[in-house]
Amino acid sequence: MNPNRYLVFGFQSSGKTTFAAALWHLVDSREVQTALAKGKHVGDFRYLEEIARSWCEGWQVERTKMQQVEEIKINLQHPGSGAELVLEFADLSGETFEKAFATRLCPPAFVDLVKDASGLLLFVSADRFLDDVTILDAFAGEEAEQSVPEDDQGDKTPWDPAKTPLQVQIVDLLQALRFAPFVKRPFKVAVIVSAWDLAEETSADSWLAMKMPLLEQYLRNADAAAEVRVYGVSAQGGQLSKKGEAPGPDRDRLLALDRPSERIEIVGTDVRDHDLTGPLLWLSGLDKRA
Amino acid sequence: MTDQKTLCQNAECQVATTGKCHLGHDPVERCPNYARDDIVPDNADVVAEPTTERVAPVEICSGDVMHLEDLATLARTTPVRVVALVGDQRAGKTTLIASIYAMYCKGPFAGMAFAGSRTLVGFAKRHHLALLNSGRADPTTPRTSRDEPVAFFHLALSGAVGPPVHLVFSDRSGEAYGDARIVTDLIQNLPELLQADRVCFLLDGAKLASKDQRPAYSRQFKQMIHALLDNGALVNVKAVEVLSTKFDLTKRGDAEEQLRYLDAYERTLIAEFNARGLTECYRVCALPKADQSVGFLGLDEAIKRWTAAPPRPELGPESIADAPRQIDRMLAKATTGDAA
Repeated sequence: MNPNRYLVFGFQSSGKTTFAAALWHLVDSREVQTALAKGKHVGDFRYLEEIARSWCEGWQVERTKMQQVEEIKINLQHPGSGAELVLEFADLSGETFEKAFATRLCPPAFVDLVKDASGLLLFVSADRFLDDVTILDAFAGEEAEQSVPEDDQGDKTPWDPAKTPLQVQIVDLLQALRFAPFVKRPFKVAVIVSAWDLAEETSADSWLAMKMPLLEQYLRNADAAAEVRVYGVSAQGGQLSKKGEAPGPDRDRLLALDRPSERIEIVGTDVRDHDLTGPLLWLSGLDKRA
Repeated sequence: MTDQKTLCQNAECQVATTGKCHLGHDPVERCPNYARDDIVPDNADVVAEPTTERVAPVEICSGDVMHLEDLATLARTTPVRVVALVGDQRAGKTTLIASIYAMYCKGPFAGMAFAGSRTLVGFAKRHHLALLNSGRADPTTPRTSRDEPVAFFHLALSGAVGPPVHLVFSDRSGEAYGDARIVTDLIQNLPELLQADRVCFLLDGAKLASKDQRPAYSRQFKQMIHALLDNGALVNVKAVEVLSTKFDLTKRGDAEEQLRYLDAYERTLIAEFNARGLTECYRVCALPKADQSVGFLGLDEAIKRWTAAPPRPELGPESIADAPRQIDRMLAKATTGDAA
């Protein structure tokens, strides 16, 4: 098992691919100082180059197609200790997780990825649709209408897994990792709250507690995670549009920056400005080495 | 109507018109590019890798409700507290379970934090008709069919100290309990009662509030408790309680009269079953749709009762009646408080 192989976990539009694109530009360009620096340039970087180009040009990074399990491999080194490491993670499509929740089936490749992983990068987005509002919450304070009595069979509307609140789906799948076929022991979990520029909370920890309380409780109280840290990340730095569409509202501002790496914003424990390698350093455990 | 584009991802393939795969796959369904844009049925491949062969998907844990054998498996490795919810059809058993789950979706509740559940999918299925995205204007809970076997819901809750408490709620259709009340031989078909540490009898506040239904229902409710007690179904049970549900309905209409009747009926229950361990009745409102000012009532106290540390076992010697030794007779007086 590669001690620095991480499972990237996140549903659709949770920011996984944008994070990878920004990370690649960050370490490859060496524009700003990072906790982990790029090591030898040896490998197949076609996928990283493809997504990083979109990122550099100020377009939304196209999400991973469902058919793809993109292997990302970056040689890094830790200047503090001189240690070299190979960061490996698989950029799985969000549909993979959604299908797994709905069908209770997953591709064998995913099982292997989980077993090989030494840590988890869990992506959730601050740019999210509120999917857990109850009818009572929505109409709180309004005079209740007389309920229409249901017949003895009740409402037979079938359950739609896709409408299950996202935090419930995430917790359910994280729990599934503890059982066969994964049987995964607790590992470090770095929660990445993407689109952080849209969040109103002052810290990523409070965002998670406020917006995804079930997930926050689970990560803090269950024995699923050995350690948890929560980071807020704006990997593209603002609102962008898809290539081919009218430019996003922040594109000109972001392109005007001399050093594109400075588009990146990150908040959390022990991170420096723009440095996406902070969570990876923590996951690797190298932060504890001299 | 299926067009060329959705039938095959390969732009050069003419399968839509010729029926033959451009890559020579026969049958065409074996081609990884074929029908890729269609909706994938439940049991189909979840992800097709970019290879020429489809790989069989792997099954993961269901996340749905547990059944008896699942409970036995869990109980072998984890200390569980089983709370059996007993009540007639539409008394509010499933709604109570769904509401407790919904509380933890919003954050820690009743001094406890969510620490996991083997049955999150089961919970989600019971709660989906209370969500705004269900398209309903009026929240409800799916009915539990009498054809369904007893189901168990698991909830691990973590307090300030100590290991998590693993609560397990049983749920089955009210018709099954109604049948067993009338034909007591059927009580043996209620195995959840033998597994239960605590039995909660759900008193349907709506039926009790109705002057039409009240006379028969109040008799039948007591009959249910008698039936289970008299047939030994509660021999392993450590605690028995009554939960009066739908308190929001009790507060509507002639609220004063309804509350008076409820108070009196609860006193009757305690008097009749006090010797059998029933010491208190509680009131809950798990879905305050009739009167939102009532709010979610009694759920936090219920969770606190169900997760409270069990009383420590008495380790001292048991008193002996009519003991021949003077010292034992003195001990017996001291432990029973009998000064006579």
